[in-house]
Amino acid sequence: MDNTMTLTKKVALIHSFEPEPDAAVNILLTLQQATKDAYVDEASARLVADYVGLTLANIYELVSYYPALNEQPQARYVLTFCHSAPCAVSDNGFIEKTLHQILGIDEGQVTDDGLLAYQGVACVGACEQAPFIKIKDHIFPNLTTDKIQQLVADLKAGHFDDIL
Amino acid sequence: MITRQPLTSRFGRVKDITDVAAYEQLQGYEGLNQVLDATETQNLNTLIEGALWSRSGNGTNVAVDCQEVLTNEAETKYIICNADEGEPGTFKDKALLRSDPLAVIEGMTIAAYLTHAQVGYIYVRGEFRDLILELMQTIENCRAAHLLGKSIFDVPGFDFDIKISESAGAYVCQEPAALFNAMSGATGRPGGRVTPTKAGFYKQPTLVEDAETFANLPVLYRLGAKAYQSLGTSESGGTKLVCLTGQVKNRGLFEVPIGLELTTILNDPEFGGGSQDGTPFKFIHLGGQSGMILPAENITDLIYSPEALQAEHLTMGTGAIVAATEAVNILDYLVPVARFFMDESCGKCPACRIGTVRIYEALQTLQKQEGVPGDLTRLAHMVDHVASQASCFVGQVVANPIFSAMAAFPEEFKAGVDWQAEVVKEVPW
Repeated sequence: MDNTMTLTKKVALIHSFEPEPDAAVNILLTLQQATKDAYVDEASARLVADYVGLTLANIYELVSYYPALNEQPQARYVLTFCHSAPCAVSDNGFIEKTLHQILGIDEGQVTDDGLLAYQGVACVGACEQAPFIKIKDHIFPNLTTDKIQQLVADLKAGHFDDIL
Repeated sequence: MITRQPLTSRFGRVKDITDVAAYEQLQGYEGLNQVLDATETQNLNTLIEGALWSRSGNGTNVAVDCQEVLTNEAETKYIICNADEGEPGTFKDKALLRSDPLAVIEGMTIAAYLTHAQVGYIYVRGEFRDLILELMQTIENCRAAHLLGKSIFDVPGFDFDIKISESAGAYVCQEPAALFNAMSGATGRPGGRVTPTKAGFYKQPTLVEDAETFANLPVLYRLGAKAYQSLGTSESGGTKLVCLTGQVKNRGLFEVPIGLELTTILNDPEFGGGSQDGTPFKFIHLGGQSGMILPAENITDLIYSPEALQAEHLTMGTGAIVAATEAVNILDYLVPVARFFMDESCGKCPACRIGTVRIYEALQTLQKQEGVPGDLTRLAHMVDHVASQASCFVGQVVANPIFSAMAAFPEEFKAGVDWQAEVVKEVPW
């Protein structure tokens, strides 16, 4: 688990929700987003299961079913792009190829330094800003190949550490 | 003078969207005040006369749903705002929650008063962390102003509060049964068919609508039924939020009066502004991924209203309209559409789980012009099989875009087949 989040902090965060099964996804998403590696590890899954009254299997069923929950540690920056039809019409298609060329990895893989990965998603509701890349809550809109190269360089240089 | 765009009239005019006082200065809570001053019968009549139908794509009459929830007795009734909005090309509910969340909350509170519901939920995509934090703050501000909680507006017994239920992303949760499963802590897979107004969330009477529908309620009661209805047509009152994407010049969110010509929405400088390169449109995809694909020449006389579209076997759906020019091959467009349904199949029904993969593969083959004689028939059979065997809308609607595209552009499908290749015998399933 993330070394910046102590067990005490983790428990405090979990206990800020109601101890009911319907809070499970809220807790898992909040926990995942609060941790550096952005995934649900087994120890955390057990804590959540015990707290909301579900089994560990129930929790892993949720984690494996929903695309927004991760079972594996994630890169520091996961560059998401839309691969749905409305954005394909807006020429989003070059983003995947460009990222593959720049980073030298396939979709879903992580760079050796653990810094970058890219992932296609269904829709993030930013269709009018396509071609775009989304990192966490931040949209980088109206991209070109040059802008993507610059974005990757800026991420590597730590220029977005304060907002991402 | 009544604004012709009441749903978006506060967009960008409030510095702090969570601020109740700022909202009230811009006619906020005037709708709820009107409701509180009227009798139950008057309020229901206003809803009926205003002709408000659901904006979520299911096309139900909101007055009928409210009446059913009201008359079905239960200890706890629920108001659920499904703002998950997983339909590609749709961003109206996110826009409302980001720019005017109090309108949605006021609408849910009105619905609670009309139906005697006590508990509300906003079901929203968990990955939009900033949006959720703003919503939480807005709800807190409402509680502090006694606009949520016990005895709202000092009306004894008017108790209603709202919680946030986070979605982890599943298109199938537009289906009420899947939504209720997801909200209760199970995976969001559909069960049997449910009637939410009778036995919805936790088997209790539940009103489920999207954010846009709830945001319409304060407008309807503030303006009155007649003025509200006059914004639209005699059968469908109000305005509609439309999400224009694709190759229109002005992509984005537009509030249009119901009853406008579809070509005006696409081409008027106030809205879509025509195509980006000035060439004519080739086709539009109406209502979301599950809607029909229409060749541009067939939309010249179409009116954008539920009744006019229904007469042509079409729907507004979520309000998404994707437009494309001749530069886009229909197969290039359909492959990501098919991928979406493949990705979003929950896996429960074998026909949908496996069939959507086969459809995606078949369209990819045609896209690469590697089809063989018989492939088009096999594709049509598979689409028909999935649509007829799936137990929920995700599989059932896959036929809409594909069959409408095959009917509109048969030559482009035929061009994906090598007609000299050996005929492959159809594989039975």
